[in-house]
Amino acid sequence: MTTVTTAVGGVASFLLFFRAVCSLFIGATSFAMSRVELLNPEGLRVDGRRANELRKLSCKLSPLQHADGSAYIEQGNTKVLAVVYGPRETRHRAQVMHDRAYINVEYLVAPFSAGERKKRSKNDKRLLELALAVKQTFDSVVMTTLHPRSQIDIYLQVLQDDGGALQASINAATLALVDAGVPMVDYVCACTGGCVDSQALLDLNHIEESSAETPDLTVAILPRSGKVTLLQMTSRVHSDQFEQMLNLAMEGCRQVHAVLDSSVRDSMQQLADQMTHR
Amino acid sequence: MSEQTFVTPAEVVTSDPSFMRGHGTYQEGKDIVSAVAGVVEQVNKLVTVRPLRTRYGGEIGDVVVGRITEVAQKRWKVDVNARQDGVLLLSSVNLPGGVQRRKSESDELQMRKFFTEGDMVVAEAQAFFQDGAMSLHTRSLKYGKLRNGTLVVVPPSLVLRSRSHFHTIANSVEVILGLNGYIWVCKRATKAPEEMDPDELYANVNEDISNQERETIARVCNCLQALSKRLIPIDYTVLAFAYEASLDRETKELLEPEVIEAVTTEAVARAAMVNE
Amino acid sequence: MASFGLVSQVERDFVERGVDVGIRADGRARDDYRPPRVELGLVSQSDGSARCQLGDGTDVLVSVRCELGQADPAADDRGRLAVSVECSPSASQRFEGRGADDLNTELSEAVTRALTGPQSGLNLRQLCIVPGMHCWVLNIDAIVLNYGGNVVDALLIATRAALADTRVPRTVVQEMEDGAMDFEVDDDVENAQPLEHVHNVPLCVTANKIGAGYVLDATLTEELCASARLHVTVNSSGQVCAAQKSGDGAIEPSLLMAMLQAAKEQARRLLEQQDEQIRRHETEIAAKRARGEPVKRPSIFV
Repeated sequence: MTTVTTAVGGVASFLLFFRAVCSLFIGATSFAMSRVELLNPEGLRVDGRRANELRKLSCKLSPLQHADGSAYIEQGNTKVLAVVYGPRETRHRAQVMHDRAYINVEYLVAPFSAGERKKRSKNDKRLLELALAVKQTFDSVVMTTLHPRSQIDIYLQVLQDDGGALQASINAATLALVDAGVPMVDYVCACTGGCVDSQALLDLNHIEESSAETPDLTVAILPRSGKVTLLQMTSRVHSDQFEQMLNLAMEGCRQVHAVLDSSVRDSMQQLADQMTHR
Repeated sequence: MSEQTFVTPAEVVTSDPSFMRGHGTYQEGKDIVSAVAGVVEQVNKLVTVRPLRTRYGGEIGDVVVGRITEVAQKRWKVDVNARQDGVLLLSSVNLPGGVQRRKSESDELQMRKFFTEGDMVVAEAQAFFQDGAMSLHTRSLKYGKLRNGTLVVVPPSLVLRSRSHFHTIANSVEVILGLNGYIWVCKRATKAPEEMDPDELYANVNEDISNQERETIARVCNCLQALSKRLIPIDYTVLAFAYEASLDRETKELLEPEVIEAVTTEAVARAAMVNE
Repeated sequence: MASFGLVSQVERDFVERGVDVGIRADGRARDDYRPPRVELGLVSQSDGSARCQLGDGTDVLVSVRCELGQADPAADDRGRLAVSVECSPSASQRFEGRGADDLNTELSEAVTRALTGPQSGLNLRQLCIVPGMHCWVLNIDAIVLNYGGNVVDALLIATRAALADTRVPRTVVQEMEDGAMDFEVDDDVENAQPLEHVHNVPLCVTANKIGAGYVLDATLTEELCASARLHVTVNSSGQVCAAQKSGDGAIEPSLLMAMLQAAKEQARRLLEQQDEQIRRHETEIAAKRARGEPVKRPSIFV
């Protein structure tokens, strides 16, 4: 039970955050408020995973039939919906590019997505940065020169954020683009990594991501060539383990690729079965 | 039915150097690699990958239904559900007073008298601009402004290529199956286009539509939506069978999932027998 | 509501004549309302949630979160609601950037209007924790995923269902020796309580004036042809809790009465159907609990 006294109002919301975070795990876990043990002596993380284990990843293509392409991803408890329109007529004259398609990304976070409810303005700097990161990633992967003077819209909606929202968004965007039939050089597969006590961790959840004990690395690769298209790291901890973290995260990307590709094939088979009635 | 080969992005389709790469692929070294998730198609030595879902691309000669979105200098822009709006040049339309009339200055200034924003039109794709935009024409009398009915939108990949895209159902209702997924369902005009006065061609007035005709139009629309929801490829045959199969129910019942299932299953079965 | 999309004069005329004779473009009569599809409990991290899909693709998702807040001095013995509606750009390109701001405000106000006021039904006193100090604030966040017409109705349907799905955490209040009030929030989800009087929460039915007549459950095209709109919010007792006219056109009194009557009748039907669905849903959950099965909430998109 969490206790609140009337005198210290500010503590209330912090503890409410805790209450909400508790409810994200199966089985209540109690921990001291000052320090969370990210990796226990048996090698288990706060959610019971091993250091190099990816969270359960499930995908669904075309959840929204009205869009050109769409995909829904659940990576652990992080849930993202991606919707793609295009290529289509460019809406703003200023954005028309004579030799290629213009990629437009909007990154939205539902007010109820985090442990603590928070409504973010559309001009929130962090959201605009994330949208830009996604746009730049796909600018180099989508074969935009095939569709000059048109526009491709990628709308990302984070419905629940339990860590790794950016990577889940990139994975969802990839699937939605594939679903829309937009030509791409390869899948873009993203994953996060961290490091605790010299041990690299794969696919950070929210508690790990917000902890000061580990850096937070997001990387996205093109599986066929292994090329890195996105790399972001924030760190409050001095770490010599960068290469180890990066390699583990890249390995995670390949695991993600296997799941994404498999769900695309399943979806294609289903669609083909439905369409060939004759 | 032949086996379909599915490929996904970055999958190698073939490394055989005698093949040429087509749409949906790219070349990397000696490999032809897929750029989309779709079905491999091969015509002679040309290899392409066709995605199962994609926006309408179109070919020259396609019959399309579109909506005027913009009135510009000597041309209109038309939403044809494609990657770019189509273009209908002033020089590509029939103007009242005869097909061979010279275009005069006043025509350009009065472009809105012919087509204005929002108007529905049926046209043919005559060419493509370099950037991929479709150039349309309405030179034949069967093309032009649409009236007396309503629009149904279906995924373009479901509209099958046929000899004709203009059909009649139940004697009273006309259906224009635009290859771009826009379908116009209307009362069959009492007068043929050749019999119309020149200003009637561009008039924005509907004929009187009887209740019976209205019901039939609604029924056809619902059949089209039903086929679309079940992802059934659409042509006149399957639509006519769906219409017949629906007759023992009220028009609005066709909005219910169970009825959609029953009617479309019957339509597909009957269409299959005809094709054998 | 904001009108977007183009429609030709002849399509408009076709729709208007159809309404005149009572045969709409899909064969429905003026009053025919397509049944909404509602799912409850999809947003596992919220205290209550529901999704509603209506007609030709309108799709809304509503989440309810109980957050601790300061009691409002003007109503210090009760909690309150806060409504926020956001139209996603996935619903229409026009909702990109700030494009949906006006519509978001309109829709948020429409839902707020229906839920606040004495006739809204919810027992806000239930949400009071320490009078004058602490209370629960119900944050109702809605996302419009696709706009296919008739969005206000869909929002209220989803909101009422989400409220029925909502469980408020139990609080235990104690008086300390020094007279200050202390309270504890019980984290155990099993002890959370349903909201009282959700049954009294109203639903909205929108009637669109087209030509000289009206339609219920308008399609997108019909909305574009409407000259005015009447939103009628009705509760289970048949009382009209709120009414709002929007749009430029004027409505003749006799037509207004007809629209009101039709909306009331349809609201009654929708309320009955929804109550039945909620009952079934709760029976299922209770049965699962009794069998010791996990009450697993489905994914948002299965």
